[in-house]
Amino acid sequence: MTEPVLSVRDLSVSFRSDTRTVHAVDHVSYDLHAGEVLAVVGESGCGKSVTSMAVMGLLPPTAHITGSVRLGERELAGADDKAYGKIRGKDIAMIFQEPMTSLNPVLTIGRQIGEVLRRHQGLSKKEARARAVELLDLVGIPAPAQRVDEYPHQLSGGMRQRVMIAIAVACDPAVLIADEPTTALDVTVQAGILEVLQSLRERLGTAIVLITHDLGVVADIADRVLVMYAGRPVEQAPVDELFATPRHPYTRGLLSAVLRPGTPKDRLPEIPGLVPSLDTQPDACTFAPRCARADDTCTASRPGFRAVPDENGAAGADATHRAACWHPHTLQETAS
Amino acid sequence: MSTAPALELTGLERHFAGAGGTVRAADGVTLTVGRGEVVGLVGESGSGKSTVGRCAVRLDEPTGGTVRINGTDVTTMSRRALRPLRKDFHLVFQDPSSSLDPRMTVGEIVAEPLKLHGIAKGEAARARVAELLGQVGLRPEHADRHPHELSGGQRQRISIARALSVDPALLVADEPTSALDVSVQASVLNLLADLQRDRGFGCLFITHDLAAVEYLADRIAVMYLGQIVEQAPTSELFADPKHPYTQALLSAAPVPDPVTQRTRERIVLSGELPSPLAPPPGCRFHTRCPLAVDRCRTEVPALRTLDGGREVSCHLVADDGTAPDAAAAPSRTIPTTRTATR
Amino acid sequence: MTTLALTGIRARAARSGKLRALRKNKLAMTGGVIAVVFVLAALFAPLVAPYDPAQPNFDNVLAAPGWSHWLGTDDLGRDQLSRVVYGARASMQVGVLAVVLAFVVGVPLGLLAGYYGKFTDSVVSRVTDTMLAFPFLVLAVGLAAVLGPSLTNATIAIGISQIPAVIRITRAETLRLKHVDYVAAAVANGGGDGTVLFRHILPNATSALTVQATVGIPAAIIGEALLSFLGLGVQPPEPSLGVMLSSAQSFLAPAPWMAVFPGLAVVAATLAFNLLGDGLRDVLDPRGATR
Repeated sequence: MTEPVLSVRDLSVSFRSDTRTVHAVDHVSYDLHAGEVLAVVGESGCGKSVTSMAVMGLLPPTAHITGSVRLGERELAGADDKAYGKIRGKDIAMIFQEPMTSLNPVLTIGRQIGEVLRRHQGLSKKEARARAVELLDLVGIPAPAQRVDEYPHQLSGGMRQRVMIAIAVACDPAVLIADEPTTALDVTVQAGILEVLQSLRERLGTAIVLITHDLGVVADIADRVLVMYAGRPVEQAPVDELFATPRHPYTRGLLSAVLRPGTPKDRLPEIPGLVPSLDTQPDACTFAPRCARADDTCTASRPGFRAVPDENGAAGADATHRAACWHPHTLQETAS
Repeated sequence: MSTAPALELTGLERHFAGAGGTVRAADGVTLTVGRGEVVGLVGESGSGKSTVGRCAVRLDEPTGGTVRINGTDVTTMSRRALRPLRKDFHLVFQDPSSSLDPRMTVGEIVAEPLKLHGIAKGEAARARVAELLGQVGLRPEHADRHPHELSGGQRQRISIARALSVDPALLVADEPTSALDVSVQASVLNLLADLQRDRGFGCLFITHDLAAVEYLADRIAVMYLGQIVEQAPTSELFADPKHPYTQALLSAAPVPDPVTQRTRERIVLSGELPSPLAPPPGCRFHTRCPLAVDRCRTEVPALRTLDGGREVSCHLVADDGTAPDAAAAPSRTIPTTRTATR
Repeated sequence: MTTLALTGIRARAARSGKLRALRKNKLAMTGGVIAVVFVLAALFAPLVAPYDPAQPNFDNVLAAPGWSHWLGTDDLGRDQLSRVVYGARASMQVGVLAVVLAFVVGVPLGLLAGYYGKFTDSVVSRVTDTMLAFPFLVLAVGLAAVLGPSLTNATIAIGISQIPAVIRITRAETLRLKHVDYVAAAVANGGGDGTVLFRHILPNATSALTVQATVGIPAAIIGEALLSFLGLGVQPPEPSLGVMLSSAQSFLAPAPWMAVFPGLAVVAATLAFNLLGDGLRDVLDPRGATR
């Protein structure tokens, strides 16, 4: 196994105010390898976006961050803005849900792509422009030589998101974090953006962290999936395995609640109850109150994020499939 | 009880005159929602589907065509004349946080239509509210809360309770689940399906979510750039989409199953949605259609009824329903199968 | 049941959260305390003032501040402290009444203009824009000059001068709220214009209007002082901070306290209400209030 390009260990983020502390992220760990797409999945408030903002060093000073974030050889946890300024856009880059607000409306897209190149790679104005045209071509923008001189408002939502991707990959970063990159877009446009991400991974070997709530997108592009619930990781597995044999009851609930083509017209399975408050960090499984399998153990101590047992009930030898559950579903159960 | 359909739109137009020209948000939409029928109106942003929904409940003023509710023409009725009729139709909005007045309690919100239509007040209204809250899966105590104290799913239930408090014959639901989390979406869809079955109201379900519309709707109309391009019973539309746009739309939505998804072919549409300020001549879809021929660029296709009763507006679909396969068009499709990296 | 009770408590805490946020804003609280002192002094002026503010005492003119007259006396030997207290009373009276007048006229007009648009809006907005072309104080002085000098006329002049700002704020809020889904829902509920305007739009505009009121009061206080200073407001011998400043002009060298204390009072009162208004704005800002 090669070294991961990004390695997150026990990352926790809490926000403190005078009246309360919100534990937004609670001991999340993952590894990301070159050319891999890791999908971080969960519902609103599960901490999937905050995790990535912490990795990017984009959280406000009120955030209290512990744990380790290693990008290649470098430790990023605790790095200051200056240190982050040198790597953001160069070694690790991010794209967001809303491309319009992330682009400067008064600068041409060529200028905005060129700016990154000139800052990190010291290209001249002319070189930067030529490279910008190449990048626009790479992300599938037709007639890039003309488009490079246009302003963001002249482009559609899908095209803007492509420009954002072009800016993000301008310096060929090892890691690209995509936070709900297609949520604001129509499905036919989404399809195009997913193609672009796919080709980046194949042509440049970019490792991608894809944050999404859309399990269709996950199925389409991810290699591995990390499921989060209430700030904690609950399950992680290769994509096929996760969809075929989900072990954590929450993952199972989530997957069965998703509509798929040909869903029979009887009742859709629901997950009863509400997401818990993040004010406390109970030494218990936070999903227990909504879980049919929960017993006293679940409410008395927090389950570790461990390898799930294999078909014989023994602990799995390789730890590619993990779940934080005292009573994970067995393979026989997931088959039914 | 009359037998007229719950909603009948005929040639509905909504044009917005602006400085840059006229935006044809809805341009000749003809659509019927029968009593107790759920019709899905599907389209992407800019298709005009929400405009159609707002015109159907007269929250927006149509600039042409007619809107009939329960057989009554309400197209040009004054706001005042329309008020007593409003108990026959209601709507559920997309964003449950902005559709409930933050200063009112849940009880006041749900009771408002009852009071305004003089159906119940005081103790009777309170009892009715408690009953309605029960029907949407909330508890009577919720009546004393304010919307911000509740979750998104609970708020959407309140919005549904309010809409159904006066027992309307028509419910327009505009993306009622789009702002909700996956697991909450399921419960709201279940609720809508249950209520619809029990009460038998007609429902115009507006959405971009194909899976949701497949689950809920009896019949589906697909909109593109202000016009309906295809209309068919749900199972037929999903099994055998005729219009190239419908085919592209169905193929573009990823299936939440990696094994299936890898074997699917998706039709990637070239180009962008044209501006509704200047819709293309001929077929509005021809600029992005992988199959477009010369005729499509000049001649406007009519929405025709095919032999089986389905409707489609495409020159390339024969009257017997033989339709071309957009996925077979050269160089337009990209297989979703990936080079395995794992 | 326990969880229900708990959420109930949490909800009440959330509602009182705005008050708590205001209480934590030290500047706003300072302003609030001073404002309350002014209001109380104005309300209970006869009890607070040690002397009759209009009673001359020619044996003790231009006395420096001291034990018997804390703020000294003026050229007619009148107690300055009593006159400041009664002057504050006039200031508060004008401040509150002028703002009330501006709201009574401005809010309905703003609602109508914002809600109905078209012709109503054109007329109201043109008139508003024309009035706003004049600076507030210039407009107030002009109107007071036309109406004639008296406290009542000063109040009316200041009130009228504040109407355009109130219309503008109300109209903007109405325009914003008109397109919010819950207002559309009220129409769909079968609500008429009255229901929509007074049950849904106006209550949700109160935050913005409250802030406008706390900004209007200090402006009116300054307006009153200016009008009285120019002889267009309160008429001597009735005390007013403006009148006091006006008569202090001739005695700046021998009796600077005649100008300093009424001047400080005007500054303190306006500053207090402005600080309170800023604090309220932070707390009530609609964008911050969605929670």
